[in-house]
Amino acid sequence: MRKIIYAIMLFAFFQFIFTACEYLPEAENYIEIKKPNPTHMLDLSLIPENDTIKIFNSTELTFQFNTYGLEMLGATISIGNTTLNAYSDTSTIVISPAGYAPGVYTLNAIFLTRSGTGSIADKLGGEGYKIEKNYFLLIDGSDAIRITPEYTINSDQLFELTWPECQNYNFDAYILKKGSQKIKEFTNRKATHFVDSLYVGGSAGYEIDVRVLTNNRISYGNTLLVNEDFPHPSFELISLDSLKIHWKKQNIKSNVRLAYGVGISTYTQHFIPYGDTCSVIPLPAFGIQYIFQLTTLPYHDSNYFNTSSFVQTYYTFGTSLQMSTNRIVYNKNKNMLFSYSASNKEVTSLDATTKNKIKTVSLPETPYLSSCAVNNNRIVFLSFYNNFYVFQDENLNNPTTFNIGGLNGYGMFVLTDNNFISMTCYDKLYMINLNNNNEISTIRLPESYYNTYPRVTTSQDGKYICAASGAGYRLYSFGNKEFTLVSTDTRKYASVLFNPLNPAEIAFTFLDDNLLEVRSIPDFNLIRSIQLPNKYRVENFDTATGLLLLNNYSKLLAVNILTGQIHTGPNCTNDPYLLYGNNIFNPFTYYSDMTKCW
Amino acid sequence: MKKIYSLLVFTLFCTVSYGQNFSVRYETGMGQYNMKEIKDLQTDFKNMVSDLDVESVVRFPSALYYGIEAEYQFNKTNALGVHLFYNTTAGRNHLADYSGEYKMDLLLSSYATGINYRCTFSKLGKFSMSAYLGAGIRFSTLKIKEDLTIYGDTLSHSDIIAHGTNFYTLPAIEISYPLLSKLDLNLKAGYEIDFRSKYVTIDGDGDPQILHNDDGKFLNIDYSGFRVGLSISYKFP
Repeated sequence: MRKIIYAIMLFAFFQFIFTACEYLPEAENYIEIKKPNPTHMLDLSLIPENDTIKIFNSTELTFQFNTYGLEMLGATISIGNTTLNAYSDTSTIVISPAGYAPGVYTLNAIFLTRSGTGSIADKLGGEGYKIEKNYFLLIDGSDAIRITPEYTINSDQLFELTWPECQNYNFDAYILKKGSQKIKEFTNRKATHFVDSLYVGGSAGYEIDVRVLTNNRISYGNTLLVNEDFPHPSFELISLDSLKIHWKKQNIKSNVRLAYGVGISTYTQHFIPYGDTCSVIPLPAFGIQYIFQLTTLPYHDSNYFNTSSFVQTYYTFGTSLQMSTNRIVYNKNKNMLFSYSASNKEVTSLDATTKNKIKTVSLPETPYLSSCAVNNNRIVFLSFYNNFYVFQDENLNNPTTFNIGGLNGYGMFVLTDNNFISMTCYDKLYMINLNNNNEISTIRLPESYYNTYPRVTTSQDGKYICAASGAGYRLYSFGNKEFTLVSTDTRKYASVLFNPLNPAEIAFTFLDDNLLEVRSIPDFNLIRSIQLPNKYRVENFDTATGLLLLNNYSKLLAVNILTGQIHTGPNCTNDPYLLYGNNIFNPFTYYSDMTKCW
Repeated sequence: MKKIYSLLVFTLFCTVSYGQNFSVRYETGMGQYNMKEIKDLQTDFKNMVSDLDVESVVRFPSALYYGIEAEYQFNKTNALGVHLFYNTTAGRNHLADYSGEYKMDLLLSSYATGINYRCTFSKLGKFSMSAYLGAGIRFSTLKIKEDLTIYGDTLSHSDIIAHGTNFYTLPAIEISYPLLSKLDLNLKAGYEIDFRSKYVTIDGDGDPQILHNDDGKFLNIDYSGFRVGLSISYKFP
């Protein structure tokens, strides 16, 4: 047993000895090298060389590193969390702004060189010289936010747009567009307002687009819809001569051009500076629709004309009866108007005061002429086919109908109070006796009269007929179916008309004199001579008031032949006008109550 | 290794137990090693850090070896025994200066155990001459240690251990001289022939990794070479 223990101890001893004798090399390769200097000259420059480098597009930055003889070891270029490595003394990096949130960054550039000693640390890059520089980068590759402009009317009463300032570093320009048209570019970020002195109202869309320097991208703005109202003309009748057009003062400082007329070719234009809100013009002719255009013009550039910057409206002196018929006759006894038309068969009766429709009837044929008696309720219509329809009253029931062939070239058409129809056809004068089976009496006017455009009138009692022309007058008496020439002269008459309220009075106007003469019938004595402001012709007597309406194709007058008082009427044209119940009518069923004027 | 140690212990036990014709010896000497492929590998390692002026300052030189034997003397001529030898050598790539040091050591050590036959064929006075033939298996360890230190900071460090085995044979001539009646002094000279080896290391994933040479063959760490040793043997009474 002891021998075994000895053997084991002996083995352990050798084992320990052997293991302790592992060969461990001791030789070394130590090289004596001079240690490097503590400092060494280096130079690092960056192109571009700005204090703050703006990176709005992919930009190349070039570093130029002068090691003054040393070998460059490498470089790290850090921007934010991004680090780039460079290994050349002329190193270019490309910075794309897309990879960065907009903002100011510090570019940290560290360039390293070897120490040049050849030591282990030198060769392994663990020993060398370093130069570190920081640069400020302004990076922004973002799009601008959409801008929504606002507008105000500023203290100068001009239209002013404002919009929020773009906060992008890469801002390039605001682009102001009106509609689809580019108005202006603003390259100043602080320029956030614009006075559009050309905007004076109406619908317009303004848009502020923002262009950034990054690839010239544009953020299109939201459209501001503007619709400042234009001034709207209102009308005020000042007198029968003048009309006042007025409007509410413009919100935006602007001038106004007022144009008016029957049509564009006849427009009269007035320039009205800012501050004035009305204009007085001659009253348009009675019953004639005028077009009024109130154009708003830029205050500082009134030659600028925007075809959409006007408000157009219409004005007619007179009130329309709003009927399809356009001819009027009047019954004094019932104070009733009868309206008919040569284009349809309808006849409508209206209250002469209220103009309310009372009744509408349809005749068998289209009426062409009509006349009311003065002192009874009869009314007669004549159709194109020479059919006569005689009604006994305003109810227009059960007419008496007859036909007289061969009538044409109609002129005067009068229903007398004694139940005669007095009418002219060309140069023939007819007296149709409704009391006696429509017995017809005729007489032909002398050719000299006919050729001088005679006006013919019949007294309401049916006893006298007078034809007056430039060749003189011819007064006939009528009785027993006979026409008898009573008197005549050679004065130059413009018109003639019996007073329906007084068959013994007749009124004349003259071609060569401004006189209105009222004479007695049959002796033809001068009752009254009234000086007129111009040469006129008589239109009709208002059987309600006795006033005589005269027309000189530009101005209407109403004359009280008893007193000689002249009432100036509205302007007119060469259309025929009628005066009934103190209302003037034109052939287009416009009327105007002259009671307040006269 | 535990099995090897167990076998050796058993052998010594038997030797001690049966005395008489048994002898034990302790031997040490100088071993010379071929190490061609590991030298090439060392050169490759050096070239891998060609930026540095690294030199292979030690290239597996001849080194002392140690060993023990237990032998049974059948008769005056023939003896059979077992042996255990420990061989070690190393290579080093190195560079150092004021700034730091690079060092790569390739440390080789091996236990070679086997049987041996000794034939005493001549006596000349007190000297006797024997022919020796040993054969066995070698258990070798390769340690590769690499360190890079710059200004006192270790920049890199690696430590790889690979184990390999190979068979070998050692023919030799031995001259013995009796110092005492039971104590002999022996001088042995021979040439060891090693067969190809295969070295395995464990990689970072814990998987075995076979080392290869430049030719793609298994790395052969060749301990072949001359052996000259001096030993003292003791004959048990």
